Amino acid sequence: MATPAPIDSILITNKLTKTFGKVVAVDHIDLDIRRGEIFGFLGPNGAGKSTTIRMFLGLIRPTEGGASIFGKDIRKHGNEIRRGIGYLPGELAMYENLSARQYFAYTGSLYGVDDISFALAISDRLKISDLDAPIGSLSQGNKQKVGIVQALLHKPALVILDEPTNALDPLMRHELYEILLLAREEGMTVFFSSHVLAEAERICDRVAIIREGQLIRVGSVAELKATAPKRLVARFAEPVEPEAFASLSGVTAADHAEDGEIELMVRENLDEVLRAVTQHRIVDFEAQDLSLEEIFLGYYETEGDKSVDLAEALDLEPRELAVEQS
Amino acid sequence: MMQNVFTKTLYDLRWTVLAFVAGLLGLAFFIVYIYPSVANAQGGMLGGLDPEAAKALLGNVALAGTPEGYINIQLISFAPLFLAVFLIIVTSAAIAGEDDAKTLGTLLARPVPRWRILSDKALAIGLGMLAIVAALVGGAVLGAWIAGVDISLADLALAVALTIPFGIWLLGFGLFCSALFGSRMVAALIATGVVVFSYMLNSSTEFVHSLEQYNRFWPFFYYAWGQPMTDPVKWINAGVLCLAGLIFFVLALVAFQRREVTG
Repeated sequence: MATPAPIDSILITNKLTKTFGKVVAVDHIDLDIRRGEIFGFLGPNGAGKSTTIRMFLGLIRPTEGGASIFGKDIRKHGNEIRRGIGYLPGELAMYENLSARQYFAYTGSLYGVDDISFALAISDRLKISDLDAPIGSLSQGNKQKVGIVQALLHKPALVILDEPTNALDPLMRHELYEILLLAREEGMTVFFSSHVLAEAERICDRVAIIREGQLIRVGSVAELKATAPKRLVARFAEPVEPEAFASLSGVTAADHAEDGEIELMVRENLDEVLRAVTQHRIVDFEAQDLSLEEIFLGYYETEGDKSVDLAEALDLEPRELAVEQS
Repeated sequence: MMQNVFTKTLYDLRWTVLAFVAGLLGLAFFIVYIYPSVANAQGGMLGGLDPEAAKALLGNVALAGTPEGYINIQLISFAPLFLAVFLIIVTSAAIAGEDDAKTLGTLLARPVPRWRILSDKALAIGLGMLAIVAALVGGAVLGAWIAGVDISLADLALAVALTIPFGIWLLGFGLFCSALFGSRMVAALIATGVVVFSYMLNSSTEFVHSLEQYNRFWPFFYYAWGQPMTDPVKWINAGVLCLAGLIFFVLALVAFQRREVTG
């Protein structure tokens, strides 16, 4: 049974779980999506992103736990909930004999929307090549644009996009980001799954990272970055071994980088580490935040020493670390 | 134009229905229209058939050499098979076909209850079926009227129209297969297998009497086979087919409601 959503929450899951035989596709996920935010659901293919989304839409039933959307239980009020959701599936398929214009009109009618001018406006912005040609004759990129428009045409309160930038060129990706930001300004909530970290970093207010069906981390991009270690890269005038810094408090990893540089991952005690670094004559020095991509990879690397270092550096919970190392 | 699943399904069916209507209208007309020529040329060629074999295949041997017998052999016996081809094509496409094409997930993500989707599709397919039966009736009656065949046109029309209960059964059964199986091919193969098996079983019972006890569980046992041209209409049989179709439709609703769309 899902917990009723607080006023500012639009989607809440409570130990949401789905198994297929012995395979646990989604494992006790707890999410809280807030009204008006752009939420990125990140993970590689097979992590459980699409399965989670399908449960939101009632396409599959949870094995355990539940979810509420707009404060309503997805098991009991599926039809009512779907009225307020726009959905772009990951594996997009549409009626290829219809034109985009016919498809928008048909889709709109199923939501009780007769006026498709909003759809036509987005189509114009996304530069869909021919609204009157059969969808089957359109390029993959144009099909994807049609799919995006049909998800937005009834101005839903919640837009669920499963890998929306698939098949879009960089310009169109940028245009989609702009549309999603506009949608947020209009009060829509956007939930989108992706394995492209750059786009999440660019537009998401918050992200969740899912791995093998389990939710590993939820937070704003800034929070994720703030809790991640800094990378310090230093080049010294004379040879210095990384071991000289490895034992310092707050240093979670120390290694040789390119061109004789030393790379340190530092979570805390930055001043002490810097003092130790300045004991040597420095030729060049740089301090960097990890990108979301690197943070993400830290959760996903499963082989080699580097992954363990990264996992440690990212301060995974003991249980998560055990999974990481296994 | 497409305002709901019903009108969308009608739109999708338009060319298929039109093709069947045109083809079967012409075929029914031709079969009946040439009866006088065939009868004159061969002096009642159908009367030369072995009575038992003709009865086994066609249901009523007594009329084999008459217009009623000829129409029964040439048209009424095959009419449900014509209808079956149409119904298996379109019912398998209705749900399993959408699943194969990956459009089912998007459709079910709309705010339309599953029972409504299936009912709308069933209604549209049912209308298409009625149009095809109407074409068969129209072609046969027109052929008989123009050729001056000595037959009751009302009986002829009713005999052809009595393919409808069989069609209702197959509509329900076909949708059940379509809702139950995730593959259009599997749904179509199972529906085809049941129709063909039932047809062959019904034919075989005339030769192998021990099979009769099993025949009553299959749809062709209840088919009219030329009634009322050959015998009084057994309305109870028509009712059994309609009821079975309705039961299968309810089972289809249950199967569709429980179906998980994972692809």
